Amino acid sequence: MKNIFLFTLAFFLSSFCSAEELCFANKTEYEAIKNRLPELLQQVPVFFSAKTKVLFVEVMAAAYVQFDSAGRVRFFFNCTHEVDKPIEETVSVCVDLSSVTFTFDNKKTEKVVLKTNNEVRVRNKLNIKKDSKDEFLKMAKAIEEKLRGSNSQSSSSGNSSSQTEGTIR
Amino acid sequence: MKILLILVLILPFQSAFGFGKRKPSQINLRSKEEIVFYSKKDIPLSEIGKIDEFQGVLVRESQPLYDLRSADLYKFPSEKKISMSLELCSSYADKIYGDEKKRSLKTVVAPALFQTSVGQACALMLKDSFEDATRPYRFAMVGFVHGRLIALTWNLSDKPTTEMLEDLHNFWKTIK
Repeated sequence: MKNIFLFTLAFFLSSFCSAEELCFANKTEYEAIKNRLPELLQQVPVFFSAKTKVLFVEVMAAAYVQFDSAGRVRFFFNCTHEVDKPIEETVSVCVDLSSVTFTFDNKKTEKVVLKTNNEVRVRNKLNIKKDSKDEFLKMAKAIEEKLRGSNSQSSSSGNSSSQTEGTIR
Repeated sequence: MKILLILVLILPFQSAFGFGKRKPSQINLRSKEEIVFYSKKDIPLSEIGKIDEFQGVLVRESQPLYDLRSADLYKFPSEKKISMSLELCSSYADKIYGDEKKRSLKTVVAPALFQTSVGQACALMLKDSFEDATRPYRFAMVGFVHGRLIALTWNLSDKPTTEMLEDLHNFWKTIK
């Protein structure tokens, strides 16, 4: 009985230890822990893109995590829906087995779920996949063009209908 | 008939997931310009990286310049002071963007006070130190509108011209 108890305790302790959170705020800190990070983050810069249909609506998204010339971590996210302009900020990062938490300069945090080795889920609604830098750049450009296009379209519409048309992004 | 039924079933979910048309929300701010407000509840992805006081996006429908069209709106109802000062202005810039000593956004135009018909306000400009930022400039206006402290912030692709800054000041002065 005692052995079963000790075995169970050891199992829970090892589970707890393996779920440790690893954090980095710059390239030096990242290099020191990168081999212990989930596969998705073992090579930063890492780029993401998505072109998907959610309930018949086409959604494009692009994101990255990379280092700037001073070694700080940069976060970028843009999307054709809900976001008017890219969210691009310096962040610190904490990672566990199932999620990545970004902490922005203003202390606000954003938790992103690690779905697979090459996919994350944002705000429980949007899956974005790891991609090449070229594909990221193409997607980021397409999103920007779409946002600017829909913007000028809505601004050129008449007064009475502009409020409704302006809502289409 | 089947198609209609499918649409009736799907549309509420589409809206709930936030991927449908944006719905303008009510806001107790008015302007001489035509403005539309989108609440953060309806556009949750836009909330990423923003403090809790972020309310949503205010769109100036008649503004032709893309960068000047939409601003992030913040409300600070718990502020006890009733007049603007440079110190108060800086403290709210720190609240929105993070502590100036630690953040990557550096002040390039120091806070300056100006008067409006509904209360004092201030404006300041910041620049992202990241060399590849797509919108490196932030222009922020913080002020009292009938005793309530609010802030509007813009992300700008390029350094704004004098005319652009004048336009933003004039817009603020129309807010009631």
